[in-house]
Amino acid sequence: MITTALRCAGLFVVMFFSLFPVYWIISFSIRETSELLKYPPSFFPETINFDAFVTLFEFIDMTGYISNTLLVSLSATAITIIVSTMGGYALARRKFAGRDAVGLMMLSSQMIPTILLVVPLSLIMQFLGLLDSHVGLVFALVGITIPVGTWMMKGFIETVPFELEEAAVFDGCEAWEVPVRVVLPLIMPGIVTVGMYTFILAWGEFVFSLTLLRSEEMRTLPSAMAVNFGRTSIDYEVLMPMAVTYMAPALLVMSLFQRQLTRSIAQGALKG
Amino acid sequence: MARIEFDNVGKSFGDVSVINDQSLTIESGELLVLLGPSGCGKSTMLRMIAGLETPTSGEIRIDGVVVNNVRPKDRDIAMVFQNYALYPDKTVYENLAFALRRRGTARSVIDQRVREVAKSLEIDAFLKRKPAELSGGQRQRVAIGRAVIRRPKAFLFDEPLSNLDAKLRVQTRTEIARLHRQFEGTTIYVTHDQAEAMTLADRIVVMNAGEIMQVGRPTEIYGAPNNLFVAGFVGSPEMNYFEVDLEGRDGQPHMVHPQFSVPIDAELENRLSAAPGRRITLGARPENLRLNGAATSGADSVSLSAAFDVVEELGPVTYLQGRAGETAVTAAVEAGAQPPLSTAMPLSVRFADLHFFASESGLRL
Repeated sequence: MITTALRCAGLFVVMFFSLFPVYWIISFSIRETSELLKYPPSFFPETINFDAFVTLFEFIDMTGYISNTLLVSLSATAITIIVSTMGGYALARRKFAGRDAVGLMMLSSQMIPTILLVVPLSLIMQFLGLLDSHVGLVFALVGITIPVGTWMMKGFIETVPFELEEAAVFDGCEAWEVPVRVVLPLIMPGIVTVGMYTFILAWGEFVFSLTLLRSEEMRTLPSAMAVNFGRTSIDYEVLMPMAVTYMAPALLVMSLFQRQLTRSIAQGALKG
Repeated sequence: MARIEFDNVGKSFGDVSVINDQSLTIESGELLVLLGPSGCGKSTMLRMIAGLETPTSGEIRIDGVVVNNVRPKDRDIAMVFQNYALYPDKTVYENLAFALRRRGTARSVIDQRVREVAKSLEIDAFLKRKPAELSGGQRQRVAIGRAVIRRPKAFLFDEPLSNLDAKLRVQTRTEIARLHRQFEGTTIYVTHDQAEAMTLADRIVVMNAGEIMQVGRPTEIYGAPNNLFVAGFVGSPEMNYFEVDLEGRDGQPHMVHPQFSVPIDAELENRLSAAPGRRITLGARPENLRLNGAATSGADSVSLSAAFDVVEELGPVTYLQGRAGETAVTAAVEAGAQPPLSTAMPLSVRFADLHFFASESGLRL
């Protein structure tokens, strides 16, 4: 009984620290302007209105920012899923010289802080003529997500018994069909997990989007937020609804695929 | 039905040789069991027949056609895997139908065959279930059904009963024997379980370290093992061994052991003297050791004394474990026998029941 109570109390503390900032942003986005700078602030909004959202979309090119962010995030997600699945399959199933070295290199690439990559990546993108382009940003993003995705997919593919592939060969599948017809349906939870990881990372990625994108019409949401606010003042009236708009897709993706994610974490009982 | 031939087949993985230039003919319609310990190469032999491994040297022929480089799907054979290898995302029906669908068989024919096979394997009640919803035995029957439904020329079984409990293993073993008679395909069955091999096989191939040690009917393998490895691997509990020297005493050849010295006739001496160093290993099955009153000491038997300290009652038979001097001895006695423990007792074994091996080479004399 005491253990359960302690466990609940612990969970409550953790949840409070995780969810309070989210509540605070949402709560501030729907308050009257006059209420925003009140001190001390009230826990619950005294009035509720959505004028800030209307203002936001009226005076700032939110549609542009959102479509840019979506374009970059979905492209990075699609590329990561395709490359990681194929790479993960190769690492899990094929024997080739340097396989372990390739795997280790991919893993070790994660040890380099993103900020250190900014200058070399900027130079590379400039050389390739990809600076201030979404293609360049997508390349930079998948450079981070593909190694992680490949390792995740390798793990998922290794849970599929190899005998299933051999059985498929007897059942008449061509070599190229085996991964597609037999392995792919069984690693869907893994694909969803890698997709979610990439989408959320790409949607929220700040450092590359701030440094690799220069012109206003190319900006994605995170860098747009940084560029538009905070230089000389903080305009909470616009910042909070913008933050809500920024959070919404990530929360939506998480809640839509939550079940798949849980399943993929618990996966491993593929035998049979 | 297919006749399968191995002609000096070798298989290496890098520098490691797994199969060393072996030849074997599997007759059309027979049930041949590849028996041996882990790592002996039996699964590699099976996988080479399947086309999942390519021989490094030699030829494999199916019905006279060299198939070294023929793809598995074009060999018209089916394989049942140890861990069932059923598609977890497909129902039992879909698992059974998959191979036929891949071959473009008409939907009505597929449906008819799936129901036929499911009925004969008593899995017709589970057609809509997925593998995870089945017991181990049911999954194994689905795996067998998936092999049978294509009506292939040959069936390959790779330790199919290893994941089943003891009772189910016996049931499924019987089922496989019945299916073999019903479908009449050439069947090659890999196992390390000698009981499976003895009960199922038309012929057994005993393998060790990439070499075929002996090929023969189960009774031949058990009754006349070619060498000490086969003698030791087939039969449980293992055969008893006694190291003896061939010596002349009082003008007559004798087999001399610290426990006994037995005169032998010239004919037997002639046979045994081929052993290098005239050192011989006598083998005696536990059921051929006779205790106490059953002892028939005389010119045609070996007598010794042993003290037993462990009694293993298995129901139909009781095994006694002990020592005859420095040599470990196991004897089979009738159920319920209660011999005194830790007391030296006379034992005997008839010459006719003894197996003679050259100690150095391990070969049968």
